[in-house]
Amino acid sequence: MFRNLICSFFLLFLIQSQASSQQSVTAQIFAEIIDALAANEDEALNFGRFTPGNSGGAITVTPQGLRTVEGTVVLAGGVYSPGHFLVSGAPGASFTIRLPDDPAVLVHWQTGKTMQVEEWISDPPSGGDAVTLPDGSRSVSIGATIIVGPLDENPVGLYAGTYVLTFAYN
Amino acid sequence: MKRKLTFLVAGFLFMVSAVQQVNGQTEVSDAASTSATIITPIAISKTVDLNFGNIVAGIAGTVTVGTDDSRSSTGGVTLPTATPGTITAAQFDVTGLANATYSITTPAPFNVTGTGDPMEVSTFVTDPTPTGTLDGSGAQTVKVGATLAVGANQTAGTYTNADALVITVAYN
Repeated sequence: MFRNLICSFFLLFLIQSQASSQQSVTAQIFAEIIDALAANEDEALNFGRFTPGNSGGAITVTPQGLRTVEGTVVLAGGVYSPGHFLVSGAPGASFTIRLPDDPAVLVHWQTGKTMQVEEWISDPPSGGDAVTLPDGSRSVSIGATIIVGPLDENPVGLYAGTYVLTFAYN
Repeated sequence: MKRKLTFLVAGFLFMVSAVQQVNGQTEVSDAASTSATIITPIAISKTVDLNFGNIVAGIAGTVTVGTDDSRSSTGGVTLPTATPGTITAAQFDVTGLANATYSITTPAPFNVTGTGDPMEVSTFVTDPTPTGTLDGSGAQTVKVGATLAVGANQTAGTYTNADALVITVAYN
């Protein structure tokens, strides 16, 4: 009987030591969802009013709003503007600007005649450089050059077209 | 005639004493040694929380943080690289008996909550896996990664869970 008592005492001791050989701990977990990048055009790229002259030429509008001509193009008064976009997103984040790969084609509303817009340039600069959104928004200006043909190729009237800009978080 | 008697008596006496000696040898006792060793209980403490970093709202998909603190995504979820935020696997210090092996138990999937819909955290992976071995000084670091399911147009903000990522270790 004494031997049985010793055996059961040992068993009890063994069970108790197993219960304290396991430990748990809790860690916290965090994820931050940030607003998707959004862009709004608040001013269209506009080369304004002009006449081609005898042989045409080109007109350049810079992102800073300066307009210059080449060739026989004569500028007229009236409104002209670089393109203006307001990019918004997560404060402190940064993004890159990608300009159009190809020229944009502006089409005459009546005749279907065209003029090409190329040599895109942005302020802030495009390419790999990151542009920041210090308080969650940033203005981007777009300039370009339009190639103007003589009057028989580019008759009088309104020419319009579209171009694609890509803004992406980097 | 007298001589014979003496001899017989002496013989009988001798025999009686011999029998008594045999009886003394049926009980034997010996001492055996017993021992018990109290060992250091296993212990675990957290040193780093699990952080998924900055994730752009929009397309649904998943974001995975590996045990090497790397991050990847599926389903078109955008992960900004210039401002990635804090990305860390959870990290724990385990201590106990030198060279002992132990099991590591990860929790069932749970949600992180915040400004928008809850997002599920699942597929926990640990390093080491599936068991650990304490080194010569009775210590080892365990890292835990997981996968976060991001919904479409998830509302921007911080999502967290303070008490669901429970890791359990036990000697085995």
